Amino acid sequence: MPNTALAVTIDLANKPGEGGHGSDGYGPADIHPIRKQQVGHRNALAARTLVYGEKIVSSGPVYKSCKQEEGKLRIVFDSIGSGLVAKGDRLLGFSIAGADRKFVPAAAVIDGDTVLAGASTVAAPVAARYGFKQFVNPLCNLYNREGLPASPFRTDDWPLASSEAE
Amino acid sequence: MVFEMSPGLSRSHRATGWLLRMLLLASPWLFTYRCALAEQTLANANLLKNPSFEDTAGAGADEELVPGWNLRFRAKETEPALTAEEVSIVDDPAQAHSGRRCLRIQPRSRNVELFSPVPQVRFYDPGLYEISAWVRGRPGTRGFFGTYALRANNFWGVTTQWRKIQFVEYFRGGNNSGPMMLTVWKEGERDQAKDPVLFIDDVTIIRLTSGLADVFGDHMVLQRGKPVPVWGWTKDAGQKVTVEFHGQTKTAVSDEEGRWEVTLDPMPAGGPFVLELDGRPAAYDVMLGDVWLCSGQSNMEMGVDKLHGEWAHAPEVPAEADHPHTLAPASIAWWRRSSRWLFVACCGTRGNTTATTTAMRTSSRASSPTGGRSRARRICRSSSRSCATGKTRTLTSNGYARPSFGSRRPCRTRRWL
Repeated sequence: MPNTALAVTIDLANKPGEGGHGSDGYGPADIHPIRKQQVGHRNALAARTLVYGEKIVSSGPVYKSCKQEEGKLRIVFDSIGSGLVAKGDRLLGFSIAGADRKFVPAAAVIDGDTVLAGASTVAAPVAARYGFKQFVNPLCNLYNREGLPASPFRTDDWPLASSEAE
Repeated sequence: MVFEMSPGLSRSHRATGWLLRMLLLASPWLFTYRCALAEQTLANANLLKNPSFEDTAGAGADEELVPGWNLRFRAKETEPALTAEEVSIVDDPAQAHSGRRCLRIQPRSRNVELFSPVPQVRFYDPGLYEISAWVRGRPGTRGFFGTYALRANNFWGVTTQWRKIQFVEYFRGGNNSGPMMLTVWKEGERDQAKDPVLFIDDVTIIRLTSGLADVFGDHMVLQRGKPVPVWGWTKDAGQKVTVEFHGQTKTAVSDEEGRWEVTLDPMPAGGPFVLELDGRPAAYDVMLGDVWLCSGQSNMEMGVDKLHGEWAHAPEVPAEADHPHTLAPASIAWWRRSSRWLFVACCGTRGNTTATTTAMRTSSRASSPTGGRSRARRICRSSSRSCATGKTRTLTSNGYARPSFGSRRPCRTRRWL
């Protein structure tokens, strides 16, 4: 849609016990971030780019394309800013599937401005998913160097079983 | 405590029972005595500063601060008298905001509840009253300040520096209005001070005869570069009001419904400013910038007042030294107003680093004239009941009373806002 922007807040969900939406402070994890300033900050970044025309990095990495490459998937992103980084010692959140449509967790590494995802049990991956879970704290930690998180995505358009998104 | 004699009891038991009966008989006297002590002590506190507010509408006698409602607090009738440790007077000009005395409250084993000596507000005209007080104390100290019937005016954000808390309350009069009360909570709430201490001084209650519409409030952002309409209500028809903002002074006369409106000339981005109505600060920390209207679902509905822990103590709330215009009420009220946090304000022009910083600072706490108090879910009916209670006791889905911290209009002007 033109003239719209998306502020990704996948990393701001409250952890269990952290409090949240009207809770007593000991509630379960939920998608009502108490880190409101970060949410507002990312929205403001989007507005500055979209409306005020500032040349700034206003979004985290967004999936662009992927192709099979030596038994792995090479995933290309937009909005990588000054580079991709994984927060933590290894990249988390990717899963891949072959033609059998069975997703398994993938070993993913940052390779330049792309991500290489592979799994020993999937010889010929055709689809990848990232952070593709229900909203409560999926383990995913891909960011750009500006500190903005990658948007969760999937490369397939296969119909989802109701349990699959859990 | 109910003691009933049983004929089967031994003689010593019987004697004990009589002793207890005598104590019970005497207890009203004891209670009165202790209350009198507490009241006498508290009466010496400089709790009431003569309101500096001048009623610009030429108020009659019924609009003055009601004699007797002078906040000589006493303890709740059903509770034992407060100890000197729990409530005491600090007779030290250096420590008092008024430069004379202040009241020190330190709840120990229970909440400390202080009531105004006049039990019913029904003696006063229904209407809008602004209640304000200066507080300081141990960070994390919480309580509420209002009436027995309307307990929504929670305050927190108490710091070691004097800060002003203020809110506007609609007293409908009648039997259902309670006495003024101040409660300081003891330990027990999460993120609350383990050993709460509150100093309070300069309590004032004034009757308001004019006010801004609910869409205007502290921390709002007014649109830059455009004429800005500002409107509100007055108690009486044909009442003159004066609006001062950022060097502009506009006057208007209210119509037969008590409605008035002025239009401010276009202004460039900047702030913070104070919007004054009839010489009284009506909105603090007002920024000029671009107003964004945001929509959403539960995350938009969730105000910062629902937050806990470190998030509930805004480190980014500007210190008074940084923003001399941002008076203490802003810091306190921010938490109430902050349900408008997503009204992103981008102040200044492109490439202006300072203005951009301002925008970032503002982005998490800014508001717009279309936000905040005028929640879409609020329903204003013309009945006095809904005006008095329905609005201020809006409940969230989880049953929390949603604090309402702003000006409320008289019912008769409600329909056009």
